[in-house]
Amino acid sequence: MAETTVRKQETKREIGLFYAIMIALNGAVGIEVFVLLNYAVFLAGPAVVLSLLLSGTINILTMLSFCELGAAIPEVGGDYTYAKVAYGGVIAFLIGWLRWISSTFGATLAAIGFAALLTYFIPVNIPLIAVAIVIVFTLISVRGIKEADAATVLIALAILTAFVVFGLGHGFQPRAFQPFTPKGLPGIFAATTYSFVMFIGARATVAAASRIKEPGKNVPRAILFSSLVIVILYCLMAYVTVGFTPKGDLLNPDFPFLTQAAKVIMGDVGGALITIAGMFAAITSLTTSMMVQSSIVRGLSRDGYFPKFLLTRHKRFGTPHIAIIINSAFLVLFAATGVIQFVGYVAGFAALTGFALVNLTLIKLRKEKPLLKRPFKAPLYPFAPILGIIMSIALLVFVEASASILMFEFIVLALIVYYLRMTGFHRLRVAVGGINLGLVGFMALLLYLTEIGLVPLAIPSPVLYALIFILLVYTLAGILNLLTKVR
Amino acid sequence: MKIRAILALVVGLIQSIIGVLTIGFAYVLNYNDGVRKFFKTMLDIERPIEEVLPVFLLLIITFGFFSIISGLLLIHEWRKLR
Repeated sequence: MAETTVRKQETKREIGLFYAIMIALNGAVGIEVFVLLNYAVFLAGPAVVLSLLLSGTINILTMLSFCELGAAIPEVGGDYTYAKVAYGGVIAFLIGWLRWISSTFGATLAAIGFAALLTYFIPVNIPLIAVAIVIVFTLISVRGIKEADAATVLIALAILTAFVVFGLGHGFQPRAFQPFTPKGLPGIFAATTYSFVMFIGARATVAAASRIKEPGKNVPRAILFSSLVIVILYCLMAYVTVGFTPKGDLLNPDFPFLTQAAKVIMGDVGGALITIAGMFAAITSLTTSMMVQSSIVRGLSRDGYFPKFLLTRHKRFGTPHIAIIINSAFLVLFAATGVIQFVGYVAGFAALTGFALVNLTLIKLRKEKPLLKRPFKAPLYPFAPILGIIMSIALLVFVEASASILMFEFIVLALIVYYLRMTGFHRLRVAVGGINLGLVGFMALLLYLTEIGLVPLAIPSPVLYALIFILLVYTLAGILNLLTKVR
Repeated sequence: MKIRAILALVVGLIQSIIGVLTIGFAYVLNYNDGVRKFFKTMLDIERPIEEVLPVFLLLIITFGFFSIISGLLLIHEWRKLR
């Protein structure tokens, strides 16, 4: 059973402010801006700059929730641990589960994004390269990887900054900004919601909070500083991209506008450099997501939701190698699809749902645990967390239907896993047996109504025989599950 | 007890296979126009298949996952009983 208190953490606090900022930037400088900016420009036109500014500002307001919670509860498990303190039980498990899915699909998106960007230089099989990059980073992670490689982050930031500086140096391009709002305010708001996930990566800091020195000060500083840097940088990048992206026949809609604008500004070298920055960003996204995945899985294993063997550490390297390898197996599975948009939507859906729940957690903890020591208190309470909840829910409307369905399935699976652990195995067997027999009853009735002509279904004979066979199997399965001897 | 264990294994395996095939069918249904047309004709659906497909996919995938879980529970029973 999950405990409602957080166990005293045993890891050593060794990360200072600089490295905490690097972790935050590692999460914030992600592949999303390369992948999502094209469609955001399509939605808002040149006013995408305003959309990003609005989205970034709202994101900073909601990041305040992470600052407060990360400073007050700097333990392994991040978002999941906060929900455990506030709610416990199924809500906490659901947040942990969603965060795990979000980081799994985030890492998949990064791997596929890396492979897609590589096609700028050489033609490659995208799923194959995505799987290969996951395997390489799994091996590196098992040997032990830092939460963030400062050099990688700084190189990516330097290239993106150079893109902005060179772009601004070319002066204002008035014609590129006409008409400024081709789709009016609805277009601006649609782009605002669509681009929201570009900015939420800085929350990765909370996953490493258990190892950060003076978390009460350093966690909020790292999150807010990196969020501010990213908002300014991305808005300027959007401004330059709109100004210099080729128009008409010269535009290739299948390739990042950023790369095409960089090619216009700095020639072939610029295009290559910005693609390299994108690949670095993909690697930072991948390592951050893998780190968060591991943290969440350890948190859930610690509390008995997942098997304890996931906590096992490698004798030589000291890393949670079993958790890393199992997580990576899922990454390989999803990376093999090579479908960037679908994976992106699933990652976004899980992140946004988790985001809304974290804001709810903040509100609940403020009400029910007013004496909890809060080294950082989020200003603009309760407006900021409420705005975060509204934005997250509004964004879910834009998620593709098939991705929403998959997420629904994942949530159902989460509930099954939870009740399997919490309500006892025997009860679950009885419930599954009952559902089996219920399905049999429903299908038998449907077949009967079809046979007497009340339901107009044209079932071919082979399908009919298959359905009868399935009915028999499910009847037996129902009886065996109901009369189970195994407890 | 031995018969029960064997029955649990056989039924569990068949149910799991049905579950996997069902999810595979959902995948094919989503991407293959021919299968979509067959499905539309069989169910006598008047509306465009694209409009109702997400709901059917939800039902089919739920059924598939449920079958796999139920099948795995029976296989687990076989492991305990043998």
